[in-house]
Amino acid sequence: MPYQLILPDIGEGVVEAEIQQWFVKPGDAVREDQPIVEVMTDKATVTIPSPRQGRVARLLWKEGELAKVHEPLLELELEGEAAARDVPGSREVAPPRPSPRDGEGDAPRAPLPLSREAGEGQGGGPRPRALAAPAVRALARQLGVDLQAVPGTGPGGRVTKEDVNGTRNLVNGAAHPPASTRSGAPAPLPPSPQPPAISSAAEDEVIPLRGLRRRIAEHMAISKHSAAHFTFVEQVDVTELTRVKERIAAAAREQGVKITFLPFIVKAAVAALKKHPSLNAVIDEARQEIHRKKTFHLGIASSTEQGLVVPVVRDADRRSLLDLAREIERLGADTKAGKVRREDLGGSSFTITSLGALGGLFATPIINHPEVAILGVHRIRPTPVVRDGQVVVRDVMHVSLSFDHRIVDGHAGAAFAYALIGYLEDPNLLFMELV
Amino acid sequence: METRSFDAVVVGAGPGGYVAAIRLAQLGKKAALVEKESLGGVCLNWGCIPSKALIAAANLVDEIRGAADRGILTEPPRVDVEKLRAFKDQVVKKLVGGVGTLEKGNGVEVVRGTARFVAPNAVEVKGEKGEWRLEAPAFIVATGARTIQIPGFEIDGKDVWSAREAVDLPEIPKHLVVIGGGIIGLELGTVYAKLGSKLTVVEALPQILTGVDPEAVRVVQKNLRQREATVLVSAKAKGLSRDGNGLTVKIEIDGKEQGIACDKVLVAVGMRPDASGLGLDAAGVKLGPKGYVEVNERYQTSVPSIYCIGDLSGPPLLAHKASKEGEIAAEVIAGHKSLRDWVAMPAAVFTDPEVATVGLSEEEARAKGYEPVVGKFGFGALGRAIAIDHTDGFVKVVGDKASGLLLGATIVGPEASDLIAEAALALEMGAYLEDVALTVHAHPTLPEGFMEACKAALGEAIHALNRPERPRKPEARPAARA
Repeated sequence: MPYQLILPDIGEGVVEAEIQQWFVKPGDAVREDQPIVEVMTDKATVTIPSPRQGRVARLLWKEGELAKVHEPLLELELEGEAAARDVPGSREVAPPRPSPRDGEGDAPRAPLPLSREAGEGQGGGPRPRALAAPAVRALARQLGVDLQAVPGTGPGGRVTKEDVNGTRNLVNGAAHPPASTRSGAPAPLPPSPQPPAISSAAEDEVIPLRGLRRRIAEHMAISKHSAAHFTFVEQVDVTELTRVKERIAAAAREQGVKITFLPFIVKAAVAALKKHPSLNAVIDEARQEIHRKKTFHLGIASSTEQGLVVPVVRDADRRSLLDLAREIERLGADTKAGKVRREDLGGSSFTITSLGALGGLFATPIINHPEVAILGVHRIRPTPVVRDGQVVVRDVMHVSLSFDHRIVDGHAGAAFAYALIGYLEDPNLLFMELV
Repeated sequence: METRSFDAVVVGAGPGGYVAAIRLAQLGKKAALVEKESLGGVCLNWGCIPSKALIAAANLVDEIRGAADRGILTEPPRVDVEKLRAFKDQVVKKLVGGVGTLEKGNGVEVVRGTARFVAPNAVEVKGEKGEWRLEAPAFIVATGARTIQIPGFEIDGKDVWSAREAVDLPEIPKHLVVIGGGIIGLELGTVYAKLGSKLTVVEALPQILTGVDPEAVRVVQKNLRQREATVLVSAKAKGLSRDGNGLTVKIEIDGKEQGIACDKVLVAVGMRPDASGLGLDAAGVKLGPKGYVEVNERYQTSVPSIYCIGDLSGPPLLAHKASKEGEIAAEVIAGHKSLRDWVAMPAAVFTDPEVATVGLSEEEARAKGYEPVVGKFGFGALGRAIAIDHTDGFVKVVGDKASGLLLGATIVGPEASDLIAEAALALEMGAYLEDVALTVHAHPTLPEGFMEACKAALGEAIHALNRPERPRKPEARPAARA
């Protein structure tokens, strides 16, 4: 029996991890502590070393698949076991042969380890072969599809060419790994309606949906599928806020802190959330419960080269403006450098998204599931507005508040938005909230 | 010495090598095919093909002898040995010429001579017309197997034949002793018996046709007995003596020696891999304990640039296995993802009647952990077999009781070598016994036997009583007795 390397606990609450990259392949010799595989959870990327010395017999997951914690990742042949496995077990029929006089020209040859017969014929009953005609087997080899892992849809579970093509498309294009293997691993969730195969031109650059991109894809899709998005847009006169920011920025610079609009927006959002707690909440879809949060952990959507990451400002209600500015700056720098720590991710109950200079007029932000609302802040531009019957030029910004209409009613969302706008238009009010 | 470069060089132009060369050329590779004797190797020149020409002729003689039973009265047939040999030569010539035409037409360069590895990427070829150094990034070695010789029976081509002499039909001896009751010995021995020789078969093991289902062997044995051939099993051939009257083969059975007077001896005790003179060891190619070259499922040897196929890469020693392997190795060299993945490797023995097998026997299925279910149908109950007056034999199929999958078939009887093709396809496609049973077979034909055997395995044979597998209902007894 080969040694099985189990995917260890790699973080509290982590039940599965995506196989990012194998550092070994079947047949490779591995030392103790040699890095074997890199896996990614929704919290971190972890490299797992080999606890034993041996030779890699089988990788049980493909790159991009989701492995479960406490389940085997790969099989190692420990020293001395390889020889024992190399048992003749030819599936070929012994043919009628001339009677040998000196024993030559007879006896089935022990197959080399590369031969697939090597793994079979060792008692324990026959391994069911994937029922597939020769042309289907050739296609699978061509596409690099493991027939044993293809659920056959033909009569009696026969694997058809369509099944092989379908599996290839799943692996290449969709968020779901190929369905369970024949050898009895528990079936993952059934794939959502099979996506149609797209035609691919030779010059297309094909990028597998892996890693962070896949997480983002899954996350966005879940949010869009479950939450009933309602986006409320209003403009904000931030002329006064701009002035206050300039003044504070000058003072902050002396303390080595760069002040942007974001700390003000976080402060305003916290103040508005306190008045409208229905938006500071998460939904537990499985238990059909809304959890209103007493903490104010705010996510700040940030772009990185790999894709969107949302670091979290903890206890935003208990931080001074300067402290907030410092924390936002640190999170931004860490995220950009790819060094964001696990404790800086997750657990937020409201998210702010800002595209900065590329902020645009307004947008329809997608809620950071399982939260129930997200605030988009947009570009500030000098805009002619009417004040006391006069057209004047003011600094105006739009805000887009998306909320889950299942949880938050329209008037509640709008009331929150106007509370927020009130703080932003008259930052003096904010000082009442300052810690 | 002239140095020439190719994309791939194939050594040996038997059914493995010549096919590999054609496939390489088809896939756009500049290929050379080295052969020291005749294109087509043993199969075309001294094996499968000439023996089948003789077997067909001998069967015709046999039919004519038996024709009186069906009211056809003739003179006893006489055999013009010269003319029959000429016919056989014609058959061989036609096929060997065909191989040459195919190689040329595909752009394969045929190099005549003996190859020897001087490096993992070079062979030197010595031929009558010159010497060349052939360099290539890939080689396919397909030099096959040669006859095993036994002490005391040195093959002289005159009195002591190997199969190679026997298929050349030098004469029809009065009494031919065949040492070795395997495929070759029995096929050729039967030819001579039908052409008029008295036949004695000496087999060292307790059964002739070792490895074949004993029930099928019994059918062949009965046929030999009927033509008054002597089959001696567990008999050791000790030596040969000559005197004025002819030869005496000394054998030992149960520790007792006896002599068999005869005029010719055919030695057919088996084949062994033939890598002699190739310099494979110098190139670093690893051989297994029995002299076969070790290969992986892509037919690569321990030297990645050198591939090995056919008999030299290991049993079963079958021409069609070599051809299939040649195709795979050529495709691998051309960058295709080919590998050995067949389920079915049929084997045919051209005895009387013919025996053919594919897949697992009942014992092999059990050894692999299946619970086998067996279905059998005798040709004695099959319309076509009765009509052509060849009713000896049966079709036996083995299935997996749990899943109903077809696992293997053994056929002994008329045209068994042809009938096995359907079973091979069924296995390769992953057919259930039911698939074959539900497929309509033309009537009256011999393949109906395969369908009926599968039905029998399911307990549903129409033209036989399904007795053994199912408990009989009491009211069914009278019918069963009838």
